[in-house]
Amino acid sequence: MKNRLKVLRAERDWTQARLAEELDVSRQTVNAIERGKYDPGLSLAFKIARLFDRRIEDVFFPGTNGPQTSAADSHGASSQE
Amino acid sequence: MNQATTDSFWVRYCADMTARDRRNLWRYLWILFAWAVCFVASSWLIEVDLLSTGPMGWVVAVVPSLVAVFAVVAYGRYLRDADELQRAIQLQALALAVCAGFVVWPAVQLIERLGAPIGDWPSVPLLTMVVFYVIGVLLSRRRYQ
Repeated sequence: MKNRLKVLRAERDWTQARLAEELDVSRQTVNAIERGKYDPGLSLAFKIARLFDRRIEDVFFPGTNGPQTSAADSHGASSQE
Repeated sequence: MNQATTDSFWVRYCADMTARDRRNLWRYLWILFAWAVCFVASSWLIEVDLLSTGPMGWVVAVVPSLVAVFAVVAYGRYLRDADELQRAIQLQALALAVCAGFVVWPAVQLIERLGAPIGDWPSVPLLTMVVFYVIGVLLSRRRYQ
């Protein structure tokens, strides 16, 4: 599972520690998710998506070629980059 | 040398935690310390025959287990409230410890029956589990770094 967490965090100019605080998790958890070492559970994944005002599939996606977005998606990841 | 490399493992371990996890872990460790003190004290009192007979003997023998129940409850709270990666790390470490105990405990029993003087080392399986638990935490933390 890949994700855009690092990009989304950078857009807000947040440190990993700040993001960890917002999510109420450890900094190690944020680091592990960003590096693709750990896939969060649904609860945390939804929490992350909600925090960045994105759909969950705009943040997390399978494969290596970028997030899967639909044409009708007004919050699509492609429009954010 | 920067601060990150000079800090001890324990300082870095705690710094990575949320305030809630740190608080729960310290509560658990204090109770664990109290259990260790009670266990050593009870062992000594029984060993020197000070309080090893009568009702007080039973009390001395049972008190460490009562404290251990509090330690288990505190660890359960730490595990329940921990963020999900920390919980995964703990569960992987516990699984490794249980597996190590499962391998070592019957082996110790059989080797003892063969005549090896392991009777003086009743806590070999327990020590093995503790050692492998620590190894499990270190390995799991490394895996997710």
